Amino acid sequence: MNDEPLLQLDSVHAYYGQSHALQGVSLTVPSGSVVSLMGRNGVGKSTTLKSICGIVRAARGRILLRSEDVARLPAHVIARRGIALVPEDRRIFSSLTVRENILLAAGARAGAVEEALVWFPALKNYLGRAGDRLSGGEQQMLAIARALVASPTLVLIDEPLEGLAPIIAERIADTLRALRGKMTVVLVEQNLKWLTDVADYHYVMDHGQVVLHGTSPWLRANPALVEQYLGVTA
Amino acid sequence: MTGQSIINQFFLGLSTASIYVLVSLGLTMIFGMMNVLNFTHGVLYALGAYFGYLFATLTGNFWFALVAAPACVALIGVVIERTAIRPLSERRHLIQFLATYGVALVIEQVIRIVAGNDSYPVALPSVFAGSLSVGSVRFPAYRVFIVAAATFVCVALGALLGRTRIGALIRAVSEDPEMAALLRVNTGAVSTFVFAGGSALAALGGVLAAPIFSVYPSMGEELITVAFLVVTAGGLGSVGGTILASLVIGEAGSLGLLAVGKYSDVLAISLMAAVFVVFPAGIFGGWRRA
Repeated sequence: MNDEPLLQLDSVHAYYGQSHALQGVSLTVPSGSVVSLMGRNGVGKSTTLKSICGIVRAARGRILLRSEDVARLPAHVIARRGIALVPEDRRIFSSLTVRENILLAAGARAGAVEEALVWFPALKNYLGRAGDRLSGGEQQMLAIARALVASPTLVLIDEPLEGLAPIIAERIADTLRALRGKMTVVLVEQNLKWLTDVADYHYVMDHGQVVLHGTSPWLRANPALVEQYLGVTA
Repeated sequence: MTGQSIINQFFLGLSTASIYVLVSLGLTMIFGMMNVLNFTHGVLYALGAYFGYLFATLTGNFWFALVAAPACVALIGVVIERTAIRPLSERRHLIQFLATYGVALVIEQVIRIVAGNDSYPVALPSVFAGSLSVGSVRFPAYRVFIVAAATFVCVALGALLGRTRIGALIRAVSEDPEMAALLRVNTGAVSTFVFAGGSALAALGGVLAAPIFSVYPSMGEELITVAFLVVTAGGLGSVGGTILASLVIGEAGSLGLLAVGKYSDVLAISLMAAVFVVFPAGIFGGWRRA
């Protein structure tokens, strides 16, 4: 793992209307690492990911990608800087086929579809199928494949295992494990045991702020603190 | 009423519907993509007719006018999209209506100042002066050309939307612009492209309609009513619905002449009203975004 920070959030504030969703979030994501955001529902984990990729505007604070502040850039420009998001609700284009979804993400790059099939061979049978005619697991595979074929430097993945059948979740979990060392990843996920296995470092959020952070061994060594903020033990 | 007169009226209705198709397709694409009610569309149709008249008169070349007029109006469309539409894209439809209606009034007044209030008859291109005979039925050649041109545009548009990368981009941005942006798509540029294309289609309708209806300042006002009726009856944002509704209103107006004489427009509007009763969201419902 390279210790140079790829991403730094410096006291980021964001709002949904009058609701103060992020109240000074600061965190660091070293290049090549897998970092997790933990916390109960509604504490600001997904909003943090959305602020990083520009679809929720940071009202104050800085979001530094390789020392460049991207907080005020449009979402498509941030994406072109190398940040890809796999959203919680997948957001597959239903009017596009699986192949078109992949090619759109890859900028029509030759070999993108084959690359996606290396990550998720199961998609091969559905390349001509419309996005809305996939199961939840297939949609999740496509959503992750779509992010990966964009050759990002940083992938933000929001609740990748949520609502999936165990066998599909395991397949997706294997793929995400395989990303370790290949690219920098920020994960939001409720499955704490899996997160502590897959991620190098963890940030625990509460009320729109980072309240704890540490490595997996540190989390396991402090079950009372983890239970206080997450309601479960590591 | 003879079989021949019915066939003739059906064909006239088809050619009128072809104009409606060209104009309404642009309008419904703009709504489907940008969720914007664009009342400048009628005046863009009129501008197409005026530019077409100007270029055809200056160069004596109808084909040049057929290409150059839509190109000029597409550029004007880009200016309108950037200055009057995009800043209002998140506002309520009533605000969009008022703003685009205001722009349309300004452009129409500019037309009146520059070209006057008179109507200009536009000569048919000589190549289309005659008619085509099928058995004992004769079809005016220019109207055959209009139907062929509209058919070509529909097929080309279908191929563009369904089989090309830009078509996939347009569908993606129409469906979920935020997710498209997250996949590095410049959604603003795609919207501008669609608005320019929709404007060019309106202008093409204007150029083609000019030899039949002449060119006059309020021609856009008259057509925008029909165009909105067509796109809402077809299902806002639905290409197939727009084509079908154009055919229904064009044929009702034309065949209705045989059945109810001068009240044929009433028949056409009544048919559209019946469509709204049966299909409140339009025939095909549309790609409408929540």
